[in-house]
Amino acid sequence: MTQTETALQVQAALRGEQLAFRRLFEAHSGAVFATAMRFTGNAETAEELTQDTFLRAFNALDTYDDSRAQFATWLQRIAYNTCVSHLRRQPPPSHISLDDSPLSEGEMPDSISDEPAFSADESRTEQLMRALESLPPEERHLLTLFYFEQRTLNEIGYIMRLSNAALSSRLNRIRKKLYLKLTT
Amino acid sequence: MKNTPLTAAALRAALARIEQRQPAAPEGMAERFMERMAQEQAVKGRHVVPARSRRRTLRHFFAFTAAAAAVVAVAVVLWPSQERKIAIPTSPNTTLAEATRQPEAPAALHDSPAAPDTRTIAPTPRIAAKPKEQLAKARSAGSAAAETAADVVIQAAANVPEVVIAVAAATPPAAPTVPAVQTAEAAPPVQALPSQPRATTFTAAEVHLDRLAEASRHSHAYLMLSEELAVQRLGAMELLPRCTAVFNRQEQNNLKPISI
Repeated sequence: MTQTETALQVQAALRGEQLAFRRLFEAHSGAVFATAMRFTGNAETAEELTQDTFLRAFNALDTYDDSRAQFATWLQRIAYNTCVSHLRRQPPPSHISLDDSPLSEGEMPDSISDEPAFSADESRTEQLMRALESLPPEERHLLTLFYFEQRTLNEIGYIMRLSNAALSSRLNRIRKKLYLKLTT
Repeated sequence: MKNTPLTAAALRAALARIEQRQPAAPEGMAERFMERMAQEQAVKGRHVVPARSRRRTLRHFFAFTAAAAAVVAVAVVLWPSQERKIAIPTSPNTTLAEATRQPEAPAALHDSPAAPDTRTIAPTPRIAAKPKEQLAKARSAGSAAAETAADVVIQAAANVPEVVIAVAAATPPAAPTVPAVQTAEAAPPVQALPSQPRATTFTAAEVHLDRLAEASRHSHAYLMLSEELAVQRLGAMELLPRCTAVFNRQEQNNLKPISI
């Protein structure tokens, strides 16, 4: 759905058209669900958080300002807040620390070592993936937005309510953290 | 694994693989969401209408109410002057007496202009109830109609009873005490006696002259022309001073006519 189509659907939703709500959900639920999965790791909970996100968004559709951000970015901001609120209500998850499972080739978990053989580069990628998965969801989400989705600092700052300086500082800290996990 | 390069490309590749591992959105999520939204609507007892729509509806309601109130207020302010305008006939041959007399009154008084009618002009209650304070109020309220000098003259011309009173006050005290200003309901137009001093009444000729000036938009030039026409028609040169008095009375009230 292009931005123009999204804007038209938003206008229709503001008029209360149910079909517009459905179309907006179908167009943007994938990204919101992925965000929720990033935070929860559970499809059922992610779907619930996705629905919560859209309900909050549609109830606050009048506050959406297209001059500040795109509709998808605005939805990501609501999804981020919903997921963070959900995590704060949950008991702290038990993250697997790289310190607890040294990432040496000889001590690879069975689940990993049972996978098809990786090349040298792929092995490093696997190590990096494991290091990434050991990060807290908020930090991994920030890296995903910046490196994978290649969003600008302004967009990420809008989603996470952080300044560009705070984002740069946080990214540097996460990179150092990852480097330490990979080099120790 | 020591000295692992932590480049942006490596991070991007690792994150891409993590995202690929994530399950896709389950089927039927949209239907379930619509059902849940319908349930939320049922629980809340209303449709999920964005707050802006509700606020917009309220805003439209208040705007409409304010506009209606403003229209009513303007109508209340303008109504006296508009009512006065409606009461004034537009035909120059129509006398003020015709405009204000009772339905059972005889036909036009100017049918026999050679014999001036000494019928007392009885103002209608509507005109009698329009004091000059209302005119001042309308002018102060910024009424566009009252802003124009022509309208001001119309207002003054409608106050003919005041002029009659002024003329009557200047007459000798020997004049009979026939009330010049009386309501139509209180007493029908009284046929004055032939010996009755004319100062106490306003003759049909005078009224006709006044109406001529009034209907010709009350400009000074038209007023003078109307005087001449009226004098020729009525054949009464002695009316000129009275007409001048009427006009001077208007000028004394600072109600200057428009000069063309």
